[in-house]
Amino acid sequence: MAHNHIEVKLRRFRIGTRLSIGFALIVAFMITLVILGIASMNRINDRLESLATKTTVKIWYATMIQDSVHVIDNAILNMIVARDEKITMMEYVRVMTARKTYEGAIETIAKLEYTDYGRDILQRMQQGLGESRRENGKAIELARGGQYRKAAGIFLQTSRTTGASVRQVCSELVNYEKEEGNASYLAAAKTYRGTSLVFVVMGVIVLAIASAAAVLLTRSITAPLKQGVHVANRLGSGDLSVEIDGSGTDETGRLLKAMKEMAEKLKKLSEVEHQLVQSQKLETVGRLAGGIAHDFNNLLSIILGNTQLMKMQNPKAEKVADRCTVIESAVMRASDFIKQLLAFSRRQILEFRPVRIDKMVREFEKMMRRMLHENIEMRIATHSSFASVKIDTAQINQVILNLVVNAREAMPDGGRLTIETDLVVIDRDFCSLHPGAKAGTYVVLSVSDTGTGMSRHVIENIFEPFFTTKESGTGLGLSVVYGIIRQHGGFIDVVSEPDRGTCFSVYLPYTSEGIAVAPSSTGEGLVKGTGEVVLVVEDDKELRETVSDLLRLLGYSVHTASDGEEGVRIFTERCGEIDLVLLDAIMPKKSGFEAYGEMNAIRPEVPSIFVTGYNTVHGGNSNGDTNGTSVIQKPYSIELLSRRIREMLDQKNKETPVPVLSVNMKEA
Amino acid sequence: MALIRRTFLVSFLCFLLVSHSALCSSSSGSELRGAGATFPQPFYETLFSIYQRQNNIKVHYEGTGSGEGLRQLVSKTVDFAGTDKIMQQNTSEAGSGEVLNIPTCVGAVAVVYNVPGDPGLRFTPDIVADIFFGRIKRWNDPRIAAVNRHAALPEIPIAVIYRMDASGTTFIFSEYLARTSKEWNDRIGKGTSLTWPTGQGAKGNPGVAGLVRQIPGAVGYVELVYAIGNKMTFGFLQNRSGRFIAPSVKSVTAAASIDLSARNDYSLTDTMVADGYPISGFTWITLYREQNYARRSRETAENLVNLLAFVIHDGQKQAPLLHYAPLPKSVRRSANRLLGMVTHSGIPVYKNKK
Ligand SMILES: Nc1ncnc2c1ncn2[C@@H]1O[C@H](COP(=O)(O)OP(=O)(O)O)[C@@H](O)[C@H]1O
Ligand SMILES: [Mg+2]
Repeated sequence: MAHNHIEVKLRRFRIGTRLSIGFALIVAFMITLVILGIASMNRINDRLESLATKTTVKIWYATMIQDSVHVIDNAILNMIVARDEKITMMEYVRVMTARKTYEGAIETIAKLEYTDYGRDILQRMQQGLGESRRENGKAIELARGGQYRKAAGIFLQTSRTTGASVRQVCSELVNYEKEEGNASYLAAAKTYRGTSLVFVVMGVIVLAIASAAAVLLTRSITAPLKQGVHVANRLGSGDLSVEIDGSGTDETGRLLKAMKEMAEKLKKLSEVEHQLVQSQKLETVGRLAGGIAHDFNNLLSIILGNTQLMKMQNPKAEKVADRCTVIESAVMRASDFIKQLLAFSRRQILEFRPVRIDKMVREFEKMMRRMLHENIEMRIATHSSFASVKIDTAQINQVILNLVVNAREAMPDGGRLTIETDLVVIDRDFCSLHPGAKAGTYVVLSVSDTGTGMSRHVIENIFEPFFTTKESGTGLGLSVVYGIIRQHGGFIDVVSEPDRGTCFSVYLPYTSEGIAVAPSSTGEGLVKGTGEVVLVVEDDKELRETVSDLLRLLGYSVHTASDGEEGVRIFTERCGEIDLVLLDAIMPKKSGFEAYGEMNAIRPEVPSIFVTGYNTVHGGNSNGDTNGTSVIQKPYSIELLSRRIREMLDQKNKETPVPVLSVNMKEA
Repeated sequence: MALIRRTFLVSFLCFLLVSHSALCSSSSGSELRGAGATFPQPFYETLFSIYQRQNNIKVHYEGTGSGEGLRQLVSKTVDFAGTDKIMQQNTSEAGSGEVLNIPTCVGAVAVVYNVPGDPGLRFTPDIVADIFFGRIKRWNDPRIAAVNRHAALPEIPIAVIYRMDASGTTFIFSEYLARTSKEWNDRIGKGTSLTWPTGQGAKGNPGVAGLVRQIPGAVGYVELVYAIGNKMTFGFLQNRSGRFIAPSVKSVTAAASIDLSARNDYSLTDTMVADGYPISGFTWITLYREQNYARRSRETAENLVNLLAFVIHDGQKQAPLLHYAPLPKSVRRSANRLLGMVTHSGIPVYKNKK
């Protein structure tokens, strides 16, 4: 691990710098080695040299003394034997020379000798030499005086004694010096071996350090490169989860950093792709659900209508009424369910109005508080103050409700729930990561909790209809939210961490339009007709009859048509008679909108009400051009129908009917 | 402790020796002491032993080198000094009185060498100078080979041996080199003791002879008698006339056979004589003219003068036996005249003038 640490440290330098440092180190090591080598060799050399010189010099001088003693003996012998004055003189010169030679030799050895034993031998030798010199001197003196016989007598007498002893001391000295020399040579050889061992060890250490440095250096270069290759291969094979360490500051570090950035971009891209696929999937599911919902609504309308008829026709039968009320509420619940499906599938006609979202949230606060247990603390922070959005209030309330319910369910043991609003500007970068988002100014409504949070897998699926992790969940809450927000031209962002909490952010496009006055809600109960003529155009026979019966009960006279064509025909035939047209939006032969178009051409002042299971026409607003038309969603209650008809008829009577029709046909 | 005791012992012994010799010189008139040059030592010792036998006067001569001999003369330890270089009157050492330099014989400085095979080699003056400069390092140097065509020269290094004590021999030899080599003259010069550019020192002529004899490849300079006595090989030297001359009584005598009256230094080196050996020189005995000093008796003075008279007259015939050249007649005459100048309390000592 320390290894890696060093490697990381090394990678702070560029490869070039690292290589130079490496080479410099190696050169320095080599120079050190050479210097050390030379120094130790010199030391050894000096030792050996001085030793060798000393020893050889000593041995040599010792031999010289031996030799001189021999020369002197020889010269004296020559004098005695030759018995010639001239020879005696010349031999005397030899004696003199030899004496000088051994004197010098002794002097030199004495200078070099430092052992007590060696000095002792020298002293003995000097004594011996002095003695023999005296003895020899006598013999030489006699020989020079011509007394050769006497000289020979003295010489032969002494040469056996003093001469022999001197020779013996001499050879002792020579042997001693030789021994001494050997011993010191051995000692020197030992130090030589020691030094050479130290040298070898140093060499090995230096080699080890150098190779370690080389390995480290190489690894610091090749390891990141290998990683680079590995990363490139993994990225190439589409694996974006590969971990990249871009911590180095050298060339490879920069390469890896670039790769990391690339991988991150690719990751984001694949996320975006994933989200796109997800939203397309949701779209398909939505369409499917929408289709089912349409038929469902018709059925529910029939049930509801008939139940209400039953109630109205048997005003006395209380028990029947009670049963009918139960059926009614069941139908309304079913209808809510369908509505949610439709909201998800965008097959719902929404009423968009510019609204101050802060105000809306504040108004909704009480309701939310009621939904939450005491162990959940709720906080509302509104920052968008006067920013308004064009929304269908009911739908957005539904969104908030669904999110709050989910948050509550994520915090069974309590926690904090925060609702925040804000105004944000979104740029292209953000859009690239959030498919469906468009650049612009948005009002963000976020609901965050401190609950269980979600795993990645869960986050990926939450918007799918029927996806739930709860035992009693429907899996529709978020899919509805999704649908509603899409219909508002907004998008949702989710951030969640398991065990920490979740934050849903709903982005709704900001609008600069002024705030419309909320429509006055009409009072409860049925609003009766006064014999006005209503044309009901509905392809479903049962529903047509139910509606006709309901309207008649309300005091209207009713004409019916089973499709758009027929409706137009009847409308044309009884032109002046008809006061209002109730149109099913989707019918065979001629749709409600087509029929409306033709009728409007004939008599534009006659108001129409569309009844729809879903609205394929609307992606957006339907509230702008409501003049002369209105929309009722299936299944509708009789109260709503009566109220709406009354509204339309009253409006027609108040205003000069302006035949404007731009009811958004654009998508059809 | 042992060391202290030993040094004490040695100094005590020395004291005994010195006091003994001092006692000898002052009390006994039948004994003379001299010291100095080793150059004529064999000659002197031979003559002195003859003289002792004839006159029963003991003469000690110690071969200490010329410099030391003169120093001992000045310090009055000896009666006379042997020197190869005339003691100049103006030296401060001679302050205690006028000295006389008596020539005794003529010697030759031989260039000896220890080369395996003992080839008789020829040397030009510049080769000698360069060997002693340390420039010619091997015996097979082309320059040596150039003048020694037929000699087998080994490829061994040359080891220069010189005199480390103050020596008249060195003076003669360096005078020769200074005369033949300008560079030697400028860098080293002449003198009794020199700063040698290379080589190893030895004491006295016997010391140099001994070392040269022992070290293969060695070269040195000694008085001829040492070379011959030790059976050493010595070189033929090229003289002024371009001839290669070996040192011998004959060639030295030739070198000395010049009119010396013209020169006051008696120098014989680098001789003009065609068959003269170029490194020859007189050797001298130096003594005080006035002998009455340090309570010396008249008898001692007489003995000394008689000894010297024997040396310059009867002793001369011994010189050739020891390969010295005897004094030329003119020199002998002037030496005799000088002896006549020796006084004791102002009264001449030399009686039997020839
Ligand atoms: N605030 C939240 N915290 C944790 N998980 C949530 C949260 N909101 C939604 N979910 C997860 O999303 C799933 C789908 O939610 P939803 O569509 O509302 O269906 P339901 O609530 O019926 O399960 C939930 O089952 C839950 O796993
Ligand atoms: Mg839910």
